[in-house]
Amino acid sequence: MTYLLEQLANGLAIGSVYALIALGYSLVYSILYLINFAHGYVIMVGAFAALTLLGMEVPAPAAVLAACLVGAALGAAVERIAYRPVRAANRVVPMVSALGAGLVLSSVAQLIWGPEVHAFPQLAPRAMIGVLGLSLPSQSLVILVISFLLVAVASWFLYGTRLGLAAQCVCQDLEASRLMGIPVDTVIVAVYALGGFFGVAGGILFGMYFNAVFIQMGLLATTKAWAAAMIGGVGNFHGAFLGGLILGVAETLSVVVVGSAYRDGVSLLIIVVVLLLRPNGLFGSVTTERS
Amino acid sequence: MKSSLWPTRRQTLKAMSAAAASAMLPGALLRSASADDGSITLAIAAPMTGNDGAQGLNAKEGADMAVAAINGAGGIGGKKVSYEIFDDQGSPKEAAAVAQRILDANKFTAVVGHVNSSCTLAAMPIYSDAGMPVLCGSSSNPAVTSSGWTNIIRMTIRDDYGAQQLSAFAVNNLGKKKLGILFGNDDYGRGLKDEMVRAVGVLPGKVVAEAGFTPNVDKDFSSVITDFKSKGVDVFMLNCSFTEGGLFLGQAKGLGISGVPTVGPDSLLYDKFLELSQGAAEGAYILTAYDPYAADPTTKTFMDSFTKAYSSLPSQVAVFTHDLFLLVKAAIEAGATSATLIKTIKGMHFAAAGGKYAWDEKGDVKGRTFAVLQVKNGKFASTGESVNEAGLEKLRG
Repeated sequence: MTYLLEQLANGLAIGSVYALIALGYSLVYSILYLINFAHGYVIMVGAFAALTLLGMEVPAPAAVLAACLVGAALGAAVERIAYRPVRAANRVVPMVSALGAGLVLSSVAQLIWGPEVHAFPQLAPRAMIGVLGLSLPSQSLVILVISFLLVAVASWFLYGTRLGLAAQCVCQDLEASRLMGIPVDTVIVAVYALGGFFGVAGGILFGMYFNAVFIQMGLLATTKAWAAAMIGGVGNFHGAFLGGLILGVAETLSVVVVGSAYRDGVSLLIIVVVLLLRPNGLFGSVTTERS
Repeated sequence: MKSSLWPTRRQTLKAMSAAAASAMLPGALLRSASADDGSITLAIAAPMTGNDGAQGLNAKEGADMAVAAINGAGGIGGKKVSYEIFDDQGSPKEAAAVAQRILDANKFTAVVGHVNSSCTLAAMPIYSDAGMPVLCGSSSNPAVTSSGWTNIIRMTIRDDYGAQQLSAFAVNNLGKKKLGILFGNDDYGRGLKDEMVRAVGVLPGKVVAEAGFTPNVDKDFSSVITDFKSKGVDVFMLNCSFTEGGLFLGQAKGLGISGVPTVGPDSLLYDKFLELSQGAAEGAYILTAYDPYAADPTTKTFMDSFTKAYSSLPSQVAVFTHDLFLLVKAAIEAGATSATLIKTIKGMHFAAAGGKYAWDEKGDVKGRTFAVLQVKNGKFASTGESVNEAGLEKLRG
């Protein structure tokens, strides 16, 4: 029993990292119905930026904040360069241009930092903490707490601020929002920037959890976060977060049940089953899409 | 070198078609131990281009060191030694063509190579038909010496014996009973893992947990670590590359697990392993085909002059290529010709930069075990220990 609970804690820790990354997807999707394929690469670059800053002896909180701001700037730049010019085109076009932007980011990052795996410093003290008779690593607890805090902040932004309200209006009807005087372009850039900001926060937690950052984490983050968002219901903000947790736990449990070699197969099988039974995800509601 | 433990069907077919092609050629040409100009020329067959291009460069560096040493001391019986390099590109197809070109040149005393097991296996039928002696450094696939060829010897320890030694070290040397094996879930990794498990079967220990991962993809080992812990694993067998090995130990430390003895092969022998483990690799044992940190003066002199010349430690390929050139010198001075080279070598006891060597009838090194290195104070260091193989003889009829 202790064993299962410890594995559950592992699953929740990795799941909350996925969840935080999935959040960025969901933010963009919920407003624009567009999949931001550059998201994973933005957070990869952000995580490397954090690594570089930490290597330059910048104090950890400042380095993390600066890296998140880099993520926000990159997110905004991707919107400006790869999305806005093609926003009115067929939905496939911005997807492809975003994927292109992601590959450019990946190549540039590889030129700067090289293809190898880099060790990521521990930002939180490592110790074992006794919780309800279980002995859990402090790192997992820190990751869980930070993830929940960031989700709360993101929810507050979306549902409690005027900018968030404007974003919801844009989501409902872009043209009408523009006519009502909402600065649509600014709102959309802000959403992308926020996605980048939270994504990089997730990326840094990812680095802490794995002890490492690497170029391919862009693609890894993209696939895992997208899977998480699909489970939860794309566009459903809280659903995506829960989807991330579910994916993390499912991966861990598949290690327990069938062995580590089949982890990805089992967790992706779960997604297929979920989507067959509930095409809009576990927490998604049936919406009719505007064209 | 890294390749599947057993030849794949494709490799076997290639080897067979190469054999068929060579059978149609005119019979073996006679060669003397020296070319007409009074020098002794060896052919190096190694990948100089392609993914494994660095290996060929290493072979060349090792050969250059040996040639300088031999010719500087008057050559072999007064004859200068030289070599030519043939690029097999790490591809079995190219290796068969290279073998034919080497034979056609009709001036080489012996072949030093190939590096990749798949290449050696593809070229061997051609060399074998012509009776060309093949001195192989790093091809570790068991089939290289167990396919009935009598014209080959090799320096490295074959994969299956190597895997058995990893298990024997954990059980016999460290006295551990509960092994947890982490392995790359590909052809090569599974082959090694199966052999490790087989070896534990005849030793007083048990594999209590094993976990495969997808090489270059999986980076999260926390659930595997928790699994190992719950099963009471008392020694980590890291049958993986330095990246995964380092991440595994670093993440184990994050989960509050440290001080579990760790054993792994020479794929861990990189500084990146130490960096990624974030200090948790301290005390880990690494078993290698040769000991770069040995106190032996021959080894030390070689390491120092190599490091001075190329500002890096020699790779296994460089050391074995170097030693093979010296071996040719020793054999010819003992009276061997090209035709009797392999037979002479099999009766020899030889020592060079990579340690002491002797060979069995098949051409495998005998009485030679992995060198045991250990991470001490954040650096790799020699322990001077050797693997206690007691019990393994049951597997090696």
